[in-house]
Amino acid sequence: MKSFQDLIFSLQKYWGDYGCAILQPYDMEVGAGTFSPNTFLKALGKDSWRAAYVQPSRRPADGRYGENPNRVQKHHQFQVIIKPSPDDIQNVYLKSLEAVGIDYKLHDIRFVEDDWESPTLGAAGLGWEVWRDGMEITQFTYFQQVGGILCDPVTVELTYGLERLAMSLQSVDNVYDLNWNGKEGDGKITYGDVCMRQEVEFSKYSFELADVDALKRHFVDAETECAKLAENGVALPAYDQCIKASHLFNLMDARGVLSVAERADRIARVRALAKLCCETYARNHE
Amino acid sequence: MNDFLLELTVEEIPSRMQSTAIADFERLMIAELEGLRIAYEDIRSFISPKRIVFSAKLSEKTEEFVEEKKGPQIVAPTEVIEKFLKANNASKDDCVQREVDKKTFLFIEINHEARDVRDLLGEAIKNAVAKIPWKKSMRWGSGHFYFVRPLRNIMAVFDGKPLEGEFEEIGLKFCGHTFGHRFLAPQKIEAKNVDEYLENMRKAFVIADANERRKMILNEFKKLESERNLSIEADEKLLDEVVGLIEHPVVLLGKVPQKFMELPEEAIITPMRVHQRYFPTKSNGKLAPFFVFVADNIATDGGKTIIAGNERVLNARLADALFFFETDLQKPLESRLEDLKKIAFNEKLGTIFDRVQRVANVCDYLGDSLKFGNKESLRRAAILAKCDLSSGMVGEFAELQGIMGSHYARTQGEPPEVCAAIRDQYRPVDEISEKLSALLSLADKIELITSFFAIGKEPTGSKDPFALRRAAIGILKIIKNFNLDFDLKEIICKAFDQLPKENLRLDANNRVYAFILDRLKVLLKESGIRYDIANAVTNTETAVIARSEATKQSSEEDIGNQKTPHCRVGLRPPRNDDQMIAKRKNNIFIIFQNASILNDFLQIDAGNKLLSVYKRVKNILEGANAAETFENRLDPSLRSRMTMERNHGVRSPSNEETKSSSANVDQSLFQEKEEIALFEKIEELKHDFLKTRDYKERLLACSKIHETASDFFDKVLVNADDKQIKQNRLNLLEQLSFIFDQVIPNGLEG
Repeated sequence: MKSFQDLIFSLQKYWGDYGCAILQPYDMEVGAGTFSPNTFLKALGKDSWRAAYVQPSRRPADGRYGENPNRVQKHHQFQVIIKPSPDDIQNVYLKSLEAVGIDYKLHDIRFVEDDWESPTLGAAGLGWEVWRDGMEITQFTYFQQVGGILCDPVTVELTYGLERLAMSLQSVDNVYDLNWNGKEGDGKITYGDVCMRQEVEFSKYSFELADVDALKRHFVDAETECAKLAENGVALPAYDQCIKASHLFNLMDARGVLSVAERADRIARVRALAKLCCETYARNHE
Repeated sequence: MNDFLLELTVEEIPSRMQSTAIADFERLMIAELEGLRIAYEDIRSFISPKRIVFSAKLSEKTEEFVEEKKGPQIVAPTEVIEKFLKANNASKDDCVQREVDKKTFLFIEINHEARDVRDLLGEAIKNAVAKIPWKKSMRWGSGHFYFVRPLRNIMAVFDGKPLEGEFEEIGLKFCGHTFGHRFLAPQKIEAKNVDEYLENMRKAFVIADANERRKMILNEFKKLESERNLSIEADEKLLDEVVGLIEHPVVLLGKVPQKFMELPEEAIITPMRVHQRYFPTKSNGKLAPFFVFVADNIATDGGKTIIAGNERVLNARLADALFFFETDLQKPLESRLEDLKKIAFNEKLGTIFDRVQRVANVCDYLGDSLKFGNKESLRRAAILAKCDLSSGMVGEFAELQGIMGSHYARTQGEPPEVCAAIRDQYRPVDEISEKLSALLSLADKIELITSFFAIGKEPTGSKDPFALRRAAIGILKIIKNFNLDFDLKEIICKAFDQLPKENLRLDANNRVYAFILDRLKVLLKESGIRYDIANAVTNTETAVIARSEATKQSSEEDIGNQKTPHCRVGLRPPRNDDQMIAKRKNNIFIIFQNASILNDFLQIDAGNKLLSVYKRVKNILEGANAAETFENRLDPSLRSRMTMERNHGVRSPSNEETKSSSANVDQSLFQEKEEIALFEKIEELKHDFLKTRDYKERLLACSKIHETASDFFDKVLVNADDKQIKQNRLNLLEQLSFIFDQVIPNGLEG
């Protein structure tokens, strides 16, 4: 049986050996590994790029106060990003599953159409969700467009959902029962030990306590700052502000205070920021 | 003939695109072969998630042929001739002269020699591959070639040997091998022709032929069914999708824990089918606690691990569903109305709650108009209809809207017809069998179209984001299926009147009604009504045929400020019918009925006779009008009347006209006995019209005038020298024409 941390070690080892730079998580609240500038901005331009990293990802609306066995407001993604996409990438990916202990003689692995589109990032790609015995364990995407800019060469992004993958490897039905450190008895640390309190308190925060007026103010601040920084040609600090705006939007969304029109409006505003950052980044890069 | 075999290996092609892709590719390959004059036979093509296969027997050489190019005339200027010769790399001696239409032209005959097919196939493949029209396509790596997913291998074998060459844009060399099943036989596989290919691939656990995979699955289903005494719900769409997800089908059976079986069947079936592509099973007509799925691997443990994994996924989904279901049940459905105030419908149209109130009101209007017996339940159903939108179940499984509402309503003791209507509102209208359900669905659709038209969101061209065309067709089908006899426009106007007042399009009512009539035209044609009849009866709201039983003298203004056509004095029905008649305006049901009656009638002898008299009368009157108009240098009032007739197939009312058509026939001016006979017949016809309002009988009555009218046309010269006599005869025909207008719409063909 592979512990949660062993799963991460195996993936880091595998992709490190493959030639990826193993990075640390981006130090901001992001909705998915894709938001990290190490994926999003690095997908632009001609330079080749290989990296892999764990990205804790926050989705306030998915909070369930620690009561749902399958859903959490902060989950962990293992993100692999390679540009240009290698010709044998499907096989390289499948070997990574072997590396984490999936035996092909026993399982049914499938690539099921799943095109990816992020309205807030103005990004789109084609690919699949990868199923292992009916469970989605990875999103496999060839980026076609980021921030409205065509990707050339094309980056491939592999996003492993670590909780799901670990649950299926450990055959547990409740995420909080996952063995995190691989010890048994007194020394055992579970996913619940690490994350339960976060889930309860952050659910309370996102659904009940977050100050809506403050969120709205912060949103405008981040928006203004982003535009100003982009104007001064610093794409990365500008993009941090875009990430902030996006997370603030997610919080407002979870609070249920956005009307349909307001929601669409804010998505469009974040998308405009993302586009601005990409353009600034690409310009600096030329 | 020589064997040609082509296999493109692609990363997993989306299932839904496969069947069109292979048909397109076969067509494109054939077009290439024909373009190159390569003789072919025995075309076969196959598709699997990872392979596009095309094979044929081809000639070794292309067909030898002479191409004849026509040049300029021999008398053309020298430069022109020089240019032609140069373009074809020929001298004047190469040309022959030939006569075309009595002019002499230069011709060049170019001999195309037979070429080796082997040398041409590479180009043909590249062209055909590049032309496949994908719904979505992508680039990969550093390349710029677009394809559905990355293309990774091209096996191309002709006459037993691989083709030389390369697909440069992708950077792939043609080769003589492919690979077997990803996990079961990943090694290289070679083949010289298609039969060998299919056989070798089968040994390598790849069933390239989708039909064969489908048959294998169905055979396995049959076995399982008899072993387990189950019936598998193998709907075609899901089966098609699954066939496109696997290269080697392995059918497996999973269990559903008993505790989940208390969920409504749909709540179990939806996650199975939609989310997991599992097939539900039944025993004794009830959902059984098993599901069937198709894997793409022969596991060494016989599939135990795969089954356990799939069961775990389904259980997690069903556990979620059960949690939501139990939580939902604790809250009365009606109390969720409050939640609907928080769900926006549209910026200008308010919340879902607002819409629910409006639909409920439309239900009331419909109920009144149709004298529906169970108005209370109808309104109740409308009020509860959208409540389940705030339930946890529908939040999780949007497909279950209506279905969950119906379940919750039933558990909370609502009457069965209310529960049925909540469920049926989202169903295709042809599947609705309860009248109350039909009325709710109708009210919902009328409200939907009217409100979106009112805020200017009409469908344009191919854009119809709110599916208003489908809603309009739904309205028509419901009216037809349930024989709903009411004034549609009146209900539309009432639906409009309750909208928030700002910034509405004031002509929305007329536009909605015209929009629905437009759909009706299409629907009538599809149901086999002659296209000219379909056009004529739906031409405008005042199309004569809809008025046939609705003639009414009235000065009231029609809704939307349109004048209601007046009836002429001679044909005015008795007063006490007025109420009933009013209901007959803008009545879709009557249009359906009358279009069909007219369609049938025009297929019989009587119908043809009527139409021929009708045409003759119209022609004479038109001729006379035209002549008169010319003489009078276009009297404006007359002109406007004629334009109106032409455009709308309707006579516009005017007192003057009324006089001229009914009062001005002077019997003392009759000269011939045929005139008198026709006059008497017309009087008789007027009498018949007063006796019956049955459309078919009126048509029949009209057709009986055929003989008398024919005699009249044969013996009587309308265009008499005496102006008074001529006018009198025209007036007589004008009367007949007016009667015809009550039953025959303008614009029919002879």
